[in-house]
Amino acid sequence: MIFDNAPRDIKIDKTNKDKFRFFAHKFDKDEKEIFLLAMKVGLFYDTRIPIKEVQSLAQLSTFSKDDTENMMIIAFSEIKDMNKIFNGKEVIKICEEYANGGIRKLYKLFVEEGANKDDTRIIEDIIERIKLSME
Amino acid sequence: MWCLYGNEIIKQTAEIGVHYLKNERHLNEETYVTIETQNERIKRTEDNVYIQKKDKNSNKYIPISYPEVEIENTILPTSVKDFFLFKGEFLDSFFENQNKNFLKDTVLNVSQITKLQKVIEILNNLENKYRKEIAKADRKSAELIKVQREIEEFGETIKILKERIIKLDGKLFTYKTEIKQIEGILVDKNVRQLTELLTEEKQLKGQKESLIADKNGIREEIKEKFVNELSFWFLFEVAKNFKKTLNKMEESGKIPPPATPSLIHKILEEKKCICGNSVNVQMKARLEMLLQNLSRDSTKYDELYRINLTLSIDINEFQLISKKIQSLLGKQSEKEQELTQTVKRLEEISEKIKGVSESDAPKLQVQKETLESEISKLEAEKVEVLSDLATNEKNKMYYEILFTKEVDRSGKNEFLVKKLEVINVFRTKINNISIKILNKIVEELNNNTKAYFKDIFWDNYKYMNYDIKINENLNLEVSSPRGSDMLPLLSTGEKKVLALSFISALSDFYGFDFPIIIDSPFTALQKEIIENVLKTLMKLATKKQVIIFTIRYEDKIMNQLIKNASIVYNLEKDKNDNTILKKVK
Repeated sequence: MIFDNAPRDIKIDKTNKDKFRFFAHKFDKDEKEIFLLAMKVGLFYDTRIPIKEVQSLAQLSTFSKDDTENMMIIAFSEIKDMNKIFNGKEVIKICEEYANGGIRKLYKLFVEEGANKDDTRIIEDIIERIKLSME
Repeated sequence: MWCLYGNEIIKQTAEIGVHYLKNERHLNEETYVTIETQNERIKRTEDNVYIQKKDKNSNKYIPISYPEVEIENTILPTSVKDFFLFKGEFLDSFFENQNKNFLKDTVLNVSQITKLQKVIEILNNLENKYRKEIAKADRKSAELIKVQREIEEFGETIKILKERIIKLDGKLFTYKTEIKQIEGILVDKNVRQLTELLTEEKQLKGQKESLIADKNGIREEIKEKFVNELSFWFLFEVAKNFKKTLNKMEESGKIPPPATPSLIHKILEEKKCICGNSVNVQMKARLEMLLQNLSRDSTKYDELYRINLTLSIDINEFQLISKKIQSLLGKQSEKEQELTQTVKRLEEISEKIKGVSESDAPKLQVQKETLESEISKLEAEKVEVLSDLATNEKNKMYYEILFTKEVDRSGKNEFLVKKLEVINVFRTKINNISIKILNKIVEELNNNTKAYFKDIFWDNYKYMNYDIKINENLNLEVSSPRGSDMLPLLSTGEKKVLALSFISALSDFYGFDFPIIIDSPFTALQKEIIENVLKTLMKLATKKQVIIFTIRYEDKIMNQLIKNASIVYNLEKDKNDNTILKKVK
């Protein structure tokens, strides 16, 4: 295990469970993969929301090395200290909170704002946004 | 609002003011409605109406009887009565085939032309009577009697032949209408073309399924790439900084980390170097040798070193993924366009073939040919009958002239002869008057029905060029500029408005002022059409008293209805669960 003091489980906010399920169905993925997507979206759109009602999603040990590396990269944006990015407790907390914000952002993009739009057109808009951020 | 259906016993003097309406169920389960006024009570059961008057002394209600007034055919002919008391649910079937003669009868009755025709019949009977008297009086002239009999017989034959023509016309009309309906289904009267259209429809349906499947496949692929490949690029900025920091650490010698015992142990255990390469026999031996000389521990910098080696943030990779997705989006758009065109063509074909399957088309064609053959036979028969009629009329005229000559020759019965002349003159005049009245009515009905209907739908381009007219059979026709029969294509709401427009136009010919009473005029109508029917009723109410029964609709419609009505009653339940009538306005 790459992390020290890592919690056993990755957690989400209970109130957002339905959103994870919704996107799992929409993208034909499991909720773990949606978590990974959500945390990246949360970081990109700078929306980090603490979890109020905790619910376990999956065991950390089920995530791949690439997944945990992405978690480290996300945590580094906050911690900014290479010595501390192996602190599992802190890294996971940051990722969970970004995922919490990210899942709400995804819901806003695909459901609330994108009610009359095809999903693929929403994805197209997101790509444009990423391109702009790279300039 | 309320209405009594069926037989009514009408009080001949003042109006009845309604104070209280009650729906009761008697102990014997008989249900009835009572309307109570100050001095009277009208009780309406399923089968009958009773009127009771309040006795001043005992204060009890006692039954009274009124002479039954023959409503039908005296004050209000049956066919006309049905124009005042009818069910709104069936308004749209006003112009159906079964009602065709009903409309004609109604126009003739309302215009009182039937009375003129009765007068002509009376005159004809008188004429026969006077001829008989003349023939009888002149006993010597056997010829006169013979001639008079011939006239009578020809008259009877003419009557029968005219009735036959009416029946033939009715059948011809029915068959021709059926053919029009079949032709509407069989495109361009060509079964082969229909078969081609059906084949094309089948192919297009398959194509549509395939396009939808392709489109869905592309969508799934795009979503897959979004989650799996594109999502990393949300981390572009932070990953860049992360990589930058790792590179600095490498430059400063922090990574790869110096060899430590735990690191070496780890490498030997995993049989993999921190750079990712497998440890072979030689490397193992060297590492074991190194282990003996080491003392310090690592601080996970080996992980960081490995991450730095593998982490790639090449913007070209993003461009590649982005291009792939754009290409998929392009394909999706093409499929969508193709799908739109396919669906459009399917709709065009569906409209043309109107749900006729391949097996139906030949049957319809045969049916049509049978009808055409019947029509030919009937038309041939009609020609014969018309010819017979002409012959009989000619013969009758001949004998009439002969009769007159015989009478003139004998010089007797001058008075009766004069009467015959007068009858002839009257008959001609009445015929001319009938024709003039009918033409005038038809013209005005035409114009007013059209005006009412178009007034409602004026803003809708679809109706502006429709021609609405009453034909020679006194049936209402609605046709497009090309002469196609549009009546069957009108929607339920449009037919209701048309029926109401016709009734409104007809109401101008009443010799008496009767209300129009409609039950459920808005049934099975969409909201926009309800508004149109409501407009028509409000227009009608400026000319006639209109009484409607309706259920409650949305507030906008109810408010409009209540605003424009003079009197509004609402049916409610009281605490004993009886229905009571409450005055709202």
